[in-house]
Amino acid sequence: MPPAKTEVLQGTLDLILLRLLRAGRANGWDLTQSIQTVSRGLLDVNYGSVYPALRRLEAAGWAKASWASSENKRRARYYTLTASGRKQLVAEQAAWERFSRAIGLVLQSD
Amino acid sequence: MLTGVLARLRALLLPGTTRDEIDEELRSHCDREIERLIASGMSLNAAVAAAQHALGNATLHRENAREAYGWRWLDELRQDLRYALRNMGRAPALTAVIVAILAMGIGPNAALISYLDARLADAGAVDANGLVRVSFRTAQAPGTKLTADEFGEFSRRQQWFESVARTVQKRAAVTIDGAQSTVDVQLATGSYFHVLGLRLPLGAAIPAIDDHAPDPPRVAVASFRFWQTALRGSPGAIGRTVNVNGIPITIVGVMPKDFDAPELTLPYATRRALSLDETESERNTTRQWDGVLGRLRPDVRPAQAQAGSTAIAAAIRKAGDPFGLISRATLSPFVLPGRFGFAMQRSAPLSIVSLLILLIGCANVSILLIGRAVNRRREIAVRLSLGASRIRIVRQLLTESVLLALMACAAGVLLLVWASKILWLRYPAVPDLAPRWSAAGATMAFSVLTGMLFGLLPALHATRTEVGDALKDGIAGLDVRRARLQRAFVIAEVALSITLVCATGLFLNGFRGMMAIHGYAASPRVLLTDLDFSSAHYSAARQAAFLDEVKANIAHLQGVRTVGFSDGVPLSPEMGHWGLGVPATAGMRFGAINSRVARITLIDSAFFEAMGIAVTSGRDVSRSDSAGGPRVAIISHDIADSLWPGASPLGKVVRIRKNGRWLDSHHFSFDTLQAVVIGVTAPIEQEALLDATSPLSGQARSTRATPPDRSMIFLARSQWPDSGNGTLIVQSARPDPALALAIEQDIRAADPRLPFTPVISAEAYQRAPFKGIDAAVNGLTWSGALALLLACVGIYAVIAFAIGQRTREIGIRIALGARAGQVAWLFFRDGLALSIAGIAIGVPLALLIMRLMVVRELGPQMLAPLAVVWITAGLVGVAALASWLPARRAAAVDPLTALRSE
Repeated sequence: MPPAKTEVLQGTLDLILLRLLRAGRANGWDLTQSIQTVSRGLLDVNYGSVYPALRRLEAAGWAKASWASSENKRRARYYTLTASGRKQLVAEQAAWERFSRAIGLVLQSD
Repeated sequence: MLTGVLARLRALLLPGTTRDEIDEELRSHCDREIERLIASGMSLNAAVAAAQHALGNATLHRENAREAYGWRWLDELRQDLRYALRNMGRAPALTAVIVAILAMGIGPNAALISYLDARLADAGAVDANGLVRVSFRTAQAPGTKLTADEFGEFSRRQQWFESVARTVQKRAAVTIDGAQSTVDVQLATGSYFHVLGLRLPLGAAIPAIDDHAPDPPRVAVASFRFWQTALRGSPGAIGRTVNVNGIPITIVGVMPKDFDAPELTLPYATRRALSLDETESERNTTRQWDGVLGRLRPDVRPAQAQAGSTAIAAAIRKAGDPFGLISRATLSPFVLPGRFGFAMQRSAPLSIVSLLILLIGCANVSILLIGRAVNRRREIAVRLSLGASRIRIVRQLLTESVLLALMACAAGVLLLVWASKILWLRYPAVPDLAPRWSAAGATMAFSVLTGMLFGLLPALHATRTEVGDALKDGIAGLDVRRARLQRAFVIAEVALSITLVCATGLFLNGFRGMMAIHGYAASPRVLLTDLDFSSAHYSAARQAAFLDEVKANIAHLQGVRTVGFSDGVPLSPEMGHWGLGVPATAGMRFGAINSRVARITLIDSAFFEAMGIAVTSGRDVSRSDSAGGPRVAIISHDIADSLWPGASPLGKVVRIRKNGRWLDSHHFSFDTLQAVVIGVTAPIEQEALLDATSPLSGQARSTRATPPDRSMIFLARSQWPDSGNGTLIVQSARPDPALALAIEQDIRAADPRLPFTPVISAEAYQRAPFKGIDAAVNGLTWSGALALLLACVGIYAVIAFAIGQRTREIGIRIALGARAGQVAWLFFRDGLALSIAGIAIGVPLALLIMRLMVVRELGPQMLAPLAVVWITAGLVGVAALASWLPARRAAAVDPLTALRSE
């Protein structure tokens, strides 16, 4: 029996991708695998939705994209975090932490 | 940030590549996932299924990925445009009609936009903020000038203007390089350039010079035209010396291009030195460049200043002044005199008319589109039922109408370029109406707005549909609701057209009325030239000798019948009002009931014959009326009627006040002279001219309300030896252009130094103040014709379309045994009934709107009831034709085909 999975909250996918891209250049498939690995399979990410999210990051100027060949000698689109993407990550991470702490406080109160 | 912009741009510019890349990316993902799953031991089929499942809805992701760049609206627009073009291609005739109607509506507006755009660009030269013209009138005269002293008093006592200035128009002989010509000049008070705030393109304005300075600098500012022609447009013209009435004057500046000033502007202080002093007799004659200008203080309302100016002006003029007390001062916004001012004034009625035309066009197209939307209900219902949102469909329909408007804009502009070329060939005075590039954007925006205007209603209408009904309707056939709607369209179309055409007609009528020249019909056989004796310093004896010689020479030219001379002709607005009275009692006062203000003209014995004015009773002036004999006068019909009602005026004595002047600041004196009435002329109407020139000079509208003053008194020139300049009048047997040249040669032969105006026909002389206005009236007439045409096209299209919609019904009727003629008659009657319903709504509406416009002084006169009847009858005729022709055509169709239609 696989562990129960959690749906990704609306809007948090961008944050996850920004965080994962901080480690370095990656393509879409790499990122889906990373999400599974890092979240220990707990996050139920629709793999397809990663791609529009990456395009959003690109359009916002947070990530840069370029084509390169992947390990299996296939052409893949690689995304790199930009300077403004790094700043965005810091801002979004701080916002998320505030949010989750607030939710935590609410839930722990009697 | 820049990376993001570049990425978005790339997605915009290379939509195909972007789509391919997204596909490739998703494919690549699947391949790797499948490889991974197979590596973990899955079968190929299971791996493919699992990978696709994990990916989710690929199409959705693809779409979302493309939308991430924010160009979705553009994609939709592209779709809408494609769809719209396809739709237009499906009904090319309807599309062509709509584009044509709109083009006719947009064309004039595009012209106006570029015209105003061009003029507004010119307007930069003057700071028009708070600048007003102040004009004065007396109880009797529609225009009176403030004298220098009166103006001084006005200037001291007024408190509503930051500063005021006064100009006086004169004529002067100007000599440049030995060539002499007579030109218009103006004397401007020292404050003139300060009040105007003019920026001169070349040189400098005249500094504020005290109007009574004993030895003022002899300087002048040339008009742009004068600089271009007489001074050859050379920058070296600044500092040049020209002779004005024999006195050297230095040109110090050039007026802006479209500031249509007289040829030279001179300081008022130089009037004596240049022999340009004001004459009393001209006080009630206001010409284009005569007047008072002021700049309102920012905290003063125009109405306040007007009331105050009236009070001051009324108090300034002393009781007993022969020119009458000032009864009113009128403020009008200062529009630059000449071309620009004219442009603004002319464009007001023009812009309303062209907007009305566009409105008719929009109404027509709107109705056609609603008609078509009824037809497209099924298509729209299908799209709605497939899940398209209403807003999306409205947007799509609006795209279609905006596209139509833009096509029409292109067509209209092409039409305009072509039309303005043709117009220009005929009337060189017509400004270039071809849209300037700077105005193109405004025109486009205007067209888009137009598209929204006529497209919104049909779009909303089309989407307000019950899907089920609409889908069934197409099958159900005869649709009562649809028929009712189309009947409503026909009624609305007729009503709208009548209203709008009447309103357009009202403007045209008003504009024509403003221009109308009443009375004396100038003949092309009469040739005129103004001789300027005073600039040439002629003595009375020399004048007489000169005139005798020239008249004798011209009389010998072939085709010449009569040669006359007078100090003015009843074609010119520049004749003075002088006092005229009858000595009924010893203490007679001018301004009392038994006196009249009349224009006095000094004539010779050939005048009436040359002008073609009939002396209906008594006798003409003859050679025997010499300087020594009793002074004689011939009066116009209406003076005779009002001074001696019911009695013969012949042999009666009139007293005339002439050459009035102030003795000191309290006493006014004139030469009061007597003359015996020897004849009465047929009615002469000429003063309408004065009113007609008001749009040129920017005078207040109110002068138009005064009835034409036809009062004239003619005196024998030979009995008034001090008389000066005048007009030579030559009547020929037939119009002959060569004659004008011959006359000019004769005058030059007699004295090469005497300035005179080019010899032109009386017709041209009469029309001279209207150069350019003619073109405007022509433009308006064309616009009016266009409005009528549009209304006809619209009514025809709507009715014909409505009948076309009922082809099936016609088929049923024919199949059931009705004869073609019967069916046609049925529809004819139906169409006529609808038109009459439209008239019942339209005519009262038209009358109401016209009443409103008359009240608000948008158009001066009510359209004659007869004109309304004609317009109505014409439109009903069109409606009848529009009912008859399509009904006949429909009735002639084979019933089987008709039944299968739709």
